[in-house]
Amino acid sequence: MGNIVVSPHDKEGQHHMMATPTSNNPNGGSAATAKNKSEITVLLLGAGESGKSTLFKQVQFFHGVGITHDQERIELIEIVRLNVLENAKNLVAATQHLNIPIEQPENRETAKLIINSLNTNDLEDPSWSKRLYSLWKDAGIQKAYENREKFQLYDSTEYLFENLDRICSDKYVPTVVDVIRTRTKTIGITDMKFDVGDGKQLRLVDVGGQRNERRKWIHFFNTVDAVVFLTSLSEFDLNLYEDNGYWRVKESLRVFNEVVNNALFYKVPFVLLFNKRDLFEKKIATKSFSKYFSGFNEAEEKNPVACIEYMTKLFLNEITEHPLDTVSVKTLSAIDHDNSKQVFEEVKQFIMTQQHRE
Amino acid sequence: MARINSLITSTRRRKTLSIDSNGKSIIFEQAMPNIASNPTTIDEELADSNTNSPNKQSEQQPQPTTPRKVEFKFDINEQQQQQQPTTENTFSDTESDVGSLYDIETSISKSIINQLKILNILISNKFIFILYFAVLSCHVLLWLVLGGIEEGIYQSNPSQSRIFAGFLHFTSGCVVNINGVVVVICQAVLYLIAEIILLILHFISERDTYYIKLETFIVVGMQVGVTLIFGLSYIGAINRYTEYFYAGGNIIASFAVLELLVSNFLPLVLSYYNDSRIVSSRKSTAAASETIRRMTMDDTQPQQTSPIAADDEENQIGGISDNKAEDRGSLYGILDAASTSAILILLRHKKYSEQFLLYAQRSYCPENILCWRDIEAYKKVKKDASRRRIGQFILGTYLIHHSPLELNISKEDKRVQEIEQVLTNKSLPLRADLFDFLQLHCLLNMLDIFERLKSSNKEIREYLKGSKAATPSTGNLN
Repeated sequence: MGNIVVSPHDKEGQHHMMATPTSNNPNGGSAATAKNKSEITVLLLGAGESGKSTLFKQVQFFHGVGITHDQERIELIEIVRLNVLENAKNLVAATQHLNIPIEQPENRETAKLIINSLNTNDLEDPSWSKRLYSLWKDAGIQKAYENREKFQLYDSTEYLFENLDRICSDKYVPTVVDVIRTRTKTIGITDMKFDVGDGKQLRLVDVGGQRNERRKWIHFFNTVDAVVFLTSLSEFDLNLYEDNGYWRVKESLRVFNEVVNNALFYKVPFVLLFNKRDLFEKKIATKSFSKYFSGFNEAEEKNPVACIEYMTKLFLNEITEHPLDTVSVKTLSAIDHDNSKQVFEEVKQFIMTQQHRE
Repeated sequence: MARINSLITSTRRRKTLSIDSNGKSIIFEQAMPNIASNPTTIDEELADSNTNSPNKQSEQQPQPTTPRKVEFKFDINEQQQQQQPTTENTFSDTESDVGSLYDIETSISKSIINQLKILNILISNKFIFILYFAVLSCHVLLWLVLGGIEEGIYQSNPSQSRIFAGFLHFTSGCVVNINGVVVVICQAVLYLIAEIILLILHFISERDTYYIKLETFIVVGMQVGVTLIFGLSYIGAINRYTEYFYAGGNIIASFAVLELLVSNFLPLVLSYYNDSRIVSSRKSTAAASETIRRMTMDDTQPQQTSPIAADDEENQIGGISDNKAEDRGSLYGILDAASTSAILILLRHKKYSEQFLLYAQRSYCPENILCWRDIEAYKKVKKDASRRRIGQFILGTYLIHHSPLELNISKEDKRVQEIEQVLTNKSLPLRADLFDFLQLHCLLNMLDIFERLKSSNKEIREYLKGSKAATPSTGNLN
């Protein structure tokens, strides 16, 4: 780690979350003790693949921990390459599932190898860069990619395939952007702390978003000082990873409802972040937004602002208990470093002001 | 009495599940060691959060309320006020079978809760105190009644021979006559029969979570030994010499003391020791999971995980089986030697594997490691019945929706559903590779926590680097 200010874990691998059991005060609500506390706990919540960990990684990055250092990123080579393979494999499987043939015979050969034997070590060989890129450009694969709402695929697919020449090399060291773009399903709960001035520390808690992971959130509900809820704007045409056939927006709304109306959070500042704005704007250019929301005015469906506003209302309508003056709504593009930094700064300010008001 | 004593202490040690004051939440202690990954913290937190959160939460439905006019701000300039649209078709079926965040306790049925309440009463101090008291008063009563009767008979007819030496006569034992001997022998035979039955039951039961089997075998061994010594000591020639050093009459008393030591004192010491270990290292040391772990962690060479549906011809492109195509979102097809072999090295290392588990427990995600280990245990056993037992356990603990340690896995996966069918179908023997895909899934799930561990623990990072250099490649796991 080598950083004094921010260290998710101390040297013995001790996790702070467990090292401070006293903070799990069973009697006092968090708001009651917030004034005197030197630590502000902020939870990043949201359904699966809403971008919690991406934001978490960005915050780590602009506080100079973890992925800032080359040697930390070298550890992630395999994860990046695994992402490439997962994407390739999922695309090939999708061509089968959707009955779209891969056109070029040599690409079919590549696909066969991907399914049967390719592993991350093989990607050190630069020749794979060409073969995988040619597969990616195959009309069949591209057609499957256009229909990606019909199967599970990571958002980073296009980015990774466009950067194959770097990734498929024995000298490859992942860039910060590579790491930010890489998808790893978060399991369990992790946290980091950093100073925010006034002798206060902000503790950011990242969690897994799938259904089974959500049962673990409750361990942190008692100690929370602010909640940042993320939801993906671009999920309007997607189904859940854990339950294919269940619409992601519906799931997000349900989870949001449960979290925002939780009695433990009544007095807690709440931020709703609409993430993946970049992807969303690209997506509505080609896909119909109003097809999924019958209440939405079809004429407006190419206007991102109108769509986001509609989504905002949808979510805010779920709030039945939480006082609305402590709720803030923002849009975010978590893969964009500058945007993340700016939005997170705003979120931090909002939380701090709310804390002072207490 | 010593036996009863030990039985009671062992019941106490068997403490499994308790119910908190409002009877709503269940605190797992030792019976399901895997759940109580960290009994002193997680359970308390759970209990705390349960008492804190009002019950109505669980009833709160995501039912949209009457549209409210809301003032909101967001960072888009063109802000339009618009009446809230009515809930459209897409939202009409908001209610579904999906569990809520708080369904941890609601998923446990009422009959189980009642059962647990009874168990809870059985292990409470109050109950044990009453039991002891009842046993003691029973004995006193027997002494009073029988002694009184005999005393009465003797008083009325002093020529009658006595069985007891006398009601308040403590300096010598029973008068040995034929009646007395018959009574003692009958008692001994009854005890022997009971002991043999219990011994057989011991052999049948498979688990020895609290070392009761071990304890019983030691005590029985001691009994046999003492009987032999006692018998020998009555042979005149031996008796003449041994009696000089050790009075034969003391043998039985010594045995009673030894038995107390084995059945009461040692278990007590052991449980204090275990408790202190849990407190100091926050480690769940329940013996059950230990046995499974020990089975999985003999330092054998990392063996290759055989993937399901390996290189079947029909898996080739152009003919991917339906099963494969169904996978879509999952990554089972990718068996990555490089990234999972590092995890395997860690999992098979005695010390680091425990550290890994501890780290995962602290991050609230031990389920993948525990499941991986249980599958290892599954693969080790040969008997179909044992496989079925472990298989059922895996299904109930990690796979079924709302199970205590549900894995992060796509519900759509056909193979999970297949496992359920295979386990219920008793006509076919279970295959050793039944859970291999799941084991791989666990490994892939571990990637995230594994990276986190690596970046926080230098020792493990160095160790992995070293072992990687030593074993250049475990080859393609395919």
